[in-house]
Amino acid sequence: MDARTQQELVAILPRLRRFALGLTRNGAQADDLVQNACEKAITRIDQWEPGTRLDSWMFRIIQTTHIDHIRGQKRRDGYLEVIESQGEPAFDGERAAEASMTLDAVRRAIYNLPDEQRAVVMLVSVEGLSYKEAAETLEIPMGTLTSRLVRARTALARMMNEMNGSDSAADEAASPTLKEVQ
Amino acid sequence: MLTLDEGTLIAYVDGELDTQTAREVEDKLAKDENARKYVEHLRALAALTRVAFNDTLHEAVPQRLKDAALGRTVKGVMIPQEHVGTGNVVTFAPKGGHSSVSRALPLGLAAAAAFAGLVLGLGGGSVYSEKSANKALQLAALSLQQDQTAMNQALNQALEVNVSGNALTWTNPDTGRSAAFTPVRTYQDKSGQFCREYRKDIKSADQTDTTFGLACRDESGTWKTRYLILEDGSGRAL
Repeated sequence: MDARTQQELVAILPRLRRFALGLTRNGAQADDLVQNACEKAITRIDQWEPGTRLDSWMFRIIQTTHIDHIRGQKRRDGYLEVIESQGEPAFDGERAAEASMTLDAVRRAIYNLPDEQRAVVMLVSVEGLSYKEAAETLEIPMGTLTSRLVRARTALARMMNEMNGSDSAADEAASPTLKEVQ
Repeated sequence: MLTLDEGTLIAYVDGELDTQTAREVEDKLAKDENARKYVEHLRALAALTRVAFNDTLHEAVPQRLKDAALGRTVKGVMIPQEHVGTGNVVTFAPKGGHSSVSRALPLGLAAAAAFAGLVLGLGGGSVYSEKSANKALQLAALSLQQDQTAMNQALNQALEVNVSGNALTWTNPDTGRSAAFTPVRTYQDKSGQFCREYRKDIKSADQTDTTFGLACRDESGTWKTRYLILEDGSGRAL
């Protein structure tokens, strides 16, 4: 890997950690995942086409490494609960309180989505990839991507409503209790 | 005949429809209040989702990940880092005193880094280059941190004194980083607290990042950012 690519990889580490956190729902596991993915990327750098997006390529490696890890756990332990039960957000109470309850609720709602829907939401809604880029990254057809996205969004909207009672957090964010004075 | 199903509306909110279809959706939305409300709801959810995990972007990246990215892990074992003690900063600071803390510190660290590199360099060239590359990274991170602190202060000042639409600019010639902070709109909430939307353009050597935020003023006169929206859609780290 040439020095410039390495620097780019270092520069996108914060986003790789964010994506990995979305997948694993656990800060320590997320960092392990990113480290594994970086090590893989370096040994497989010949598989990356220069000129294409490095971030998308890394997202794909992270995603496949994560799936391999889950499958491995299933085989070894015969249960997926290890990961499922560690769905607690990796944020401490103080920060959560400061960072507004709304964002916390959104994270919790996303953590509650099935794995494959969560990956789609992280790529499209959080990372801002286009549908086409996200489908290529996850190596799934466009139709599969859009149907996962629709299911995820409707589930999120419903969960947000449930968490916030009748007064939905989304409404609150769209039109906060603020009035223009100037 | 276009129907406003969930898939279409979601694609509309995500900006995935072609111009023609988007126009048809807008025509239909104009006549359909329920669909309009749903779109607003989706937009709000999308905006929140976009920033929900941003805490991670502001955390320091663990050194072991930087090492992995730079191919510095050997058989899964990390090459230990040299610690730059504050003692070195004093020892290697240039004569004539420190003109300011922000200048003296990086110079001291640079000297310390050079010294560490020199000593280790006797052991072998590759170790030397790895160490000094590492130091360069640490220095870059440190200067970014200092710039961020200074930019936060500038943003606070812009929000405190600038009229909406007027930018406050900030430059650090040492790092080549510059920024413009423009309050966009001012609000007052029910409890009388002031909040302002602002635009932030940060320019470094090869790129400009634009973000929009909403900050509210606390009793001590500190503006705390509540939401940040990235404009370019790339989800770049701030």
